Amino acid sequence: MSYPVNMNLLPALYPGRLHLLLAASPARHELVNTVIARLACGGPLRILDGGNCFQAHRIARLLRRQTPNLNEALADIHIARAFTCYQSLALLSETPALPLPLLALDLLTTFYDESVPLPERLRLLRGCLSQLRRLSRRAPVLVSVGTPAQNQPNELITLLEDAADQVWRLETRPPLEPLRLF
Amino acid sequence: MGRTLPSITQVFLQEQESFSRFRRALRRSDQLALDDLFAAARQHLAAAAYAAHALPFEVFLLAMLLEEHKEVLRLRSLVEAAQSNKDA
Repeated sequence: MSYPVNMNLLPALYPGRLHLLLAASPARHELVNTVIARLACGGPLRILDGGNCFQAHRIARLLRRQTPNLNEALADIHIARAFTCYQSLALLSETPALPLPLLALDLLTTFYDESVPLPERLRLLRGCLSQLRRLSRRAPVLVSVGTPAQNQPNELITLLEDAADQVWRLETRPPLEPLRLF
Repeated sequence: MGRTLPSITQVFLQEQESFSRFRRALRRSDQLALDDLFAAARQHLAAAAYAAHALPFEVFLLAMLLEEHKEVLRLRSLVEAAQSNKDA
């Protein structure tokens, strides 16, 4: 069973596959909000918010356009927030493998915490990926991450990209040079 | 740990900002009227925060309507007072 996300940019989400959305901030949030609104219209879904980026008001507005039963649709969104990489792993480990779509928003944000040694962060991320793999067996899993800043380690995102079955990378177009007449 | 939702003042300012292009296209007198409406809604931010509505703009619209209705009631009482003075 596929979970259709009727958008031009993102294809359907399938159980058994780990989907990764890699995009810069405004576009990523807008896409994720649209995916959440679409999925919430179809039934319950679970969200793990690693970047404290769940935009409840924006999603409520998107849902209102799609369904008159706003409160029911909002009640179908089950959200848990993680503020450290340890919490991310704990939340994923405690999540039962149910046939409900799972979205892990800004998963790597907590892993960019420099107070945790990089080998430890990599170990925790491997644990998270293992849990995501377990959860994706019965339901589609979408992980969204932002493009890393220059001072952030690339190992984390490389690990995530290697583990993903499908990667959607949205690259922002560089600013156009002003036209010159001569 | 930070906020999980923006404050009601932030939401209000975002909503007001989202109408900036609309406001710019209005003539000056209408811009002032629109500013009055937002100022009216701003008076009820505490109540809007307490309402914790999923769609805060609906609460802002209701707050605008509330202030408008208060103005209607005030004007109605003035008209009625003037009418009774005239009859007496």
